[in-house]
Amino acid sequence: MSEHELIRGCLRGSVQHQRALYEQFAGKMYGVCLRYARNPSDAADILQEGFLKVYTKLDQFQHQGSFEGWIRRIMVNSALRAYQRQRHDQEISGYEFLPESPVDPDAIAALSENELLELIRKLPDGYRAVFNLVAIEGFSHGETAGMLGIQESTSRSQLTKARRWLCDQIERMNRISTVEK
Amino acid sequence: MKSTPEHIDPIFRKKLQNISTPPPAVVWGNIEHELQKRNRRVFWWYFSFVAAGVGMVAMWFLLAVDHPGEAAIQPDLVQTQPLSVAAVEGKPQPAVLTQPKANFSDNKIAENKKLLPVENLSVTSKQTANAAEVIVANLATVSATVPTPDKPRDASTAAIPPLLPVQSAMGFAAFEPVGRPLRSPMRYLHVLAVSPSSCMVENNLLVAKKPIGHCYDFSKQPTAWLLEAYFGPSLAQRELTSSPDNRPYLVSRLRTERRDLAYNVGLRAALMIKGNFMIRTGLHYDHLTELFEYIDPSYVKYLVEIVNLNGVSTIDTVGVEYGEKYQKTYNRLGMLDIPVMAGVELRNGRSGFNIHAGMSFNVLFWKRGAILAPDTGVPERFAPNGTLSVFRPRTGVSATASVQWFYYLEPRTRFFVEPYFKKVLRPVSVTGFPVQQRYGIGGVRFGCTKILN
Repeated sequence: MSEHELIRGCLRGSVQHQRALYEQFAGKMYGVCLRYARNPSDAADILQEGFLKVYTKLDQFQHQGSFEGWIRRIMVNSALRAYQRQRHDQEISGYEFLPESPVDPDAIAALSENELLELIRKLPDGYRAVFNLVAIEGFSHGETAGMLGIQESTSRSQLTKARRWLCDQIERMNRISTVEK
Repeated sequence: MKSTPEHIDPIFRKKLQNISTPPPAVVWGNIEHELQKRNRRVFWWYFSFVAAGVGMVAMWFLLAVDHPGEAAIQPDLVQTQPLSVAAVEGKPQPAVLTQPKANFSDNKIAENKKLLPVENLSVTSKQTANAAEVIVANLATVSATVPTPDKPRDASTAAIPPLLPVQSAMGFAAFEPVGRPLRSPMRYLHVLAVSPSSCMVENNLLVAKKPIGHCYDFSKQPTAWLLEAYFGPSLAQRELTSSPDNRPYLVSRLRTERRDLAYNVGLRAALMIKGNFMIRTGLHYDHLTELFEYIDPSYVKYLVEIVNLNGVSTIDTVGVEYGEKYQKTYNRLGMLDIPVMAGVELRNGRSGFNIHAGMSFNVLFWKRGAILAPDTGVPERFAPNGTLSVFRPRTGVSATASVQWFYYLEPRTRFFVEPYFKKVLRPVSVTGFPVQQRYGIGGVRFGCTKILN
């Protein structure tokens, strides 16, 4: 079923087309949600909310860019809304004092996708959102600050702290792995 | 070779940007369930809307029907004459409709007893003897001067086009214009009760005529003063704008404030000129409520980090102590305006509508509540009760428009429903405030009009 047919079917309210659209994009979008959420359960909630938004806003899709990109943007927005709803802690003191420990690229490359995902999920909420938006999605700090309702300088500082925290965790895992060998 | 923290970004991006993981099976079930719920909701909305529309139309018909008891037109007034016949099967054919013996049901005519006189009938069926199938007569220009038994037809009324009572499937008589297909009997039910004493005929078809006791006659007194009072719910459309530098503050405002209940109330006078044109002024008050809720981000959260044997750590929350700055308050804004509006009114029977547009001048802008302060980011009460200067003393000029549907309850009293919209032309916030705040207010007014003349 082509993308155009999928969209037209969903606009008609056909459950079959809605299901097909879900099956086509759910895997990738769940991957996006997992990066932003604290745990898989929250990610599933975000995915559900995001797809409902996709079905109800489908008439607003302009057919000008990638359909997948449009859905991905909706998922990211849903994730950010969820983050803002349960926004409790922005800062966890202590991370800013972590030393700038360089990390072996091979050590990161050796980590599986799930391990990297697990690491990102353990980041504090604010750090995780900024790291996802800037480092992975490629948004600028200005855009990120606008989306999260924070200052641009806060976005920069949170990204730095997130990177340090991740490097620290990777180093720690690497050390343990070396000792075991 | 070791890399600096910045260099981990491409690795994460490469590995995670397009990661695909099958979601839990339950998600689709939840989505499907939610979609079904929404579809049901949409269906009920449509159903309610259509039902309300049908109800209103039905009410219109019922209210448009006069009550029986007006001067009855006797069935023997139905005259019979040779007819100029419309083409039937390609050629004209004369036909004669005999006196009441015509196969209308005598009983039913007698029951209704309100048939209009008929002459020069034009019949399109050759089976004129079977009146149940003769359903065409011309009443295109029936005037209000319908003769009654005690007022014989004179020369002025001789030109009245003919009418033929129609035996419908529902068993009551009605009239139908020549050349038009038979419509619903309901459309002409009220014709049976037509009376010379009725107050309005403003249509080229035979129009429902209301007893004079039910509506004010603007044709006799085209200039009149009207007094109107109303009340109803509103919906405020707030627009917040800022420069890119102040966007974080704007986002924090949007996050902490949301729309709540609003209403409008007013009292106004209207001058009717030439029976159809109106000028209005008075006092109109819009009351808007917004909910402000601030959750203090600087609270204490107790976390524990559990590191397993592989060095993988898990952070868990074991407790939270919220700060003292948590605040929830209802911000209230009141705008008292003097509207000046001009419009036009059209009436048909006991109901009608008018359209107005004009300007509204603010005389009082009342406000109470709190918002996030732009410099500190914490809640602060705004002036006049607080120190934060957010709003201007007056909102200034607004553009406003409304459409009113009304119905006469008594000759000088009418009930109305009036959707309206008002757009405040300038921001209500002070110049230089980081976020500019504008309002558009829509709502419905329910009220009463008293005609003072």
